[in-house]
Amino acid sequence: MRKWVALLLAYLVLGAAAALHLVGADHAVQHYGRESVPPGAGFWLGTDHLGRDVLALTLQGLRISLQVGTVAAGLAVSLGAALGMAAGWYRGAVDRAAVWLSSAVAAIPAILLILAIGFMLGQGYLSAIAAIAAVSWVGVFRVVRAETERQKTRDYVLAARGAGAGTLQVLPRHILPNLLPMLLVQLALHFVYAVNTEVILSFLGVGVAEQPSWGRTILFGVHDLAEGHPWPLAAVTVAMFGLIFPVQRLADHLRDRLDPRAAAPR
Amino acid sequence: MLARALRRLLSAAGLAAGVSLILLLVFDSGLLGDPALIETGPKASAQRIGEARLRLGAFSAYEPRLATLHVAGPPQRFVLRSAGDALELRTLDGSQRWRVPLTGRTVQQALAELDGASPAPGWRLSLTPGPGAQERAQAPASGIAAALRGASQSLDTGRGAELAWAEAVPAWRRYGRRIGELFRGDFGVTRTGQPIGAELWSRARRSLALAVPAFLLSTALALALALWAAVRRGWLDRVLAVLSVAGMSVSWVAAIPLLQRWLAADLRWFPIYGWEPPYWTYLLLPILIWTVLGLWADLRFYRSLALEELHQEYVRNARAQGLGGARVLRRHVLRNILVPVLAQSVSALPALALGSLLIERFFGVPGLGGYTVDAVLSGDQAVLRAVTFLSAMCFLLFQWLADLACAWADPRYGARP
Repeated sequence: MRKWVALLLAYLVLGAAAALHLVGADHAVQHYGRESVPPGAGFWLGTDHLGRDVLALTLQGLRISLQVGTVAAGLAVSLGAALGMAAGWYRGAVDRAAVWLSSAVAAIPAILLILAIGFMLGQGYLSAIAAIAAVSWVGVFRVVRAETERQKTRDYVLAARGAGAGTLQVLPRHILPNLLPMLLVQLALHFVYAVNTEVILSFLGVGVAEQPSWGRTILFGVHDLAEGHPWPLAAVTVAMFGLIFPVQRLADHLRDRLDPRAAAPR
Repeated sequence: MLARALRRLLSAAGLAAGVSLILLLVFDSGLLGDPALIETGPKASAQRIGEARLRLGAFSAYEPRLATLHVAGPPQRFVLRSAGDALELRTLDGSQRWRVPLTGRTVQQALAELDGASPAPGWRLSLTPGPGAQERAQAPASGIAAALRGASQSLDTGRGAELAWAEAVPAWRRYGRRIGELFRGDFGVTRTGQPIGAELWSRARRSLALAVPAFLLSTALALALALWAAVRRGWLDRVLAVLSVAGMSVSWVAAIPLLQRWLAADLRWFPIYGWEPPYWTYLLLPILIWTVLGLWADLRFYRSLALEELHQEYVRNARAQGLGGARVLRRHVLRNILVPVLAQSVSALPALALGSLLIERFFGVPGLGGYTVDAVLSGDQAVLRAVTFLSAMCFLLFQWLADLACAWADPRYGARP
């Protein structure tokens, strides 16, 4: 458990370092005459066919992934938790409407709906985040609604309500703290989902276009690979694995320890 | 059972309506972006934008050459825009503005007012009627502003600008027609005028030839490995547990081209890319890669199911009565976990869209996934909408069938609401 957290932290620091250009390499600079250089002194991970430093590209991509993943997952979890708590608490018409909406969203293959929303919003960071969050809240909604419903009849809630606490007191003060472990797990799982999805969107030309997202680097990396230079693609593959694997393990540990019933995002 | 089937069908119909509303919101409402501008780009000419609106169903009629407007005076560029139901002419720097109200007038009246008017002190307009002026003379003048919506046209001294006229379809009627078209299976045409419906069916066959074997193979393999791990436990179980998380953490976009390169280009075991007879040789590697990449999430889920089941008393009982391990597995455990496995595979069906999207793109299989990617790259909303709608309907249908199958196989499942 501790070592996963340590790995994660190391990664976050690296991402921050990229943000601050502490690595001292600029991802946008094209080194003419040094295209497709294999890893070695000067370029630790080599260069791509445009002569860009693969290490700098990969770190810049990490920064984008960290940002998109965190913000999109945060939005999805907040939206899903708010709607889920409302549906589980009020039941009745509110519940039916929210369940209908979430089931209709869930009936559309997530990647297609995200692609459609991202496409209509146009390229860019924010549209990728909005598209991912607008679709992936559904998974959070489902588990939060079920759990709120379960908590609602617990003694502590009945006691609080008996003591005169209203909905606006019970939901945030009593039920929300009991949902936090589950929300933490959902946050980690949706972070992974958002990172993966942003890379796919950017690869397909819908997400981040003007920045070296991992998806863009993969797109160029496929070109390099065809010419026999596997390192840009390999670097991104390893970097993505290095980000996602620890978070996935962390989510699993959290789930096993805190919340055995949580479901993975679809 | 019949009552349940009908009830479930009714709720599926409600969800189908919800799906069509969501697609309406995404593609037609203009909430996320003006559909015509997305096709043409924001800097397209007014005529291209108008033609795109006609094709997308926002206009029921479009007359691009109603009249030609000229302006005489010192060199200046005016910009023609629509301002609500009025036509606005302003100088490029925005210092002079002039509006012609169009509400409640006919085209003839509006054109008569434009002819000879002065948009700013020192400039004078003149008008040459075009081929459409006679025909649309009695039509409402607000169509002139409608034709300019979302676009702007420049009017230079010494150079004419075409005035256009359009009949806009009211939003509610457009939405109604769109929903009707979707449910009738009338998906319209692509940007280049190819019918989408026929293309969908021939492409769906190829996608299924790829997705069905891959899905069945990865499910079967995951189930077998999960049972093996659950029965053996020990190091095998632990290795598979770590492997499954590792497998889930691999990015498909990055892994597919690497595996393709290794297995097809370096080792030459498979053809690399393409689609020609014999087709099945081009499907082998995509199916293999799909199976290998898609296996891991299922494996983990099935393992926990199998473990839970193996600790049930009936398993201990069967063993105590002398039944062998394989027999217990086959006749008791497997049978009992089939219902949750079936339910889970249906909920995993939408994920097939992702596989077909990426794998078909990398291997050049001309299926629905490749069609979608091409549509996204060429900016074709109609194709994207059709594929999205169709796959959602398929999902609802499968969900309904699987629910019935589960209820039939396990009465306890049926009792759940």
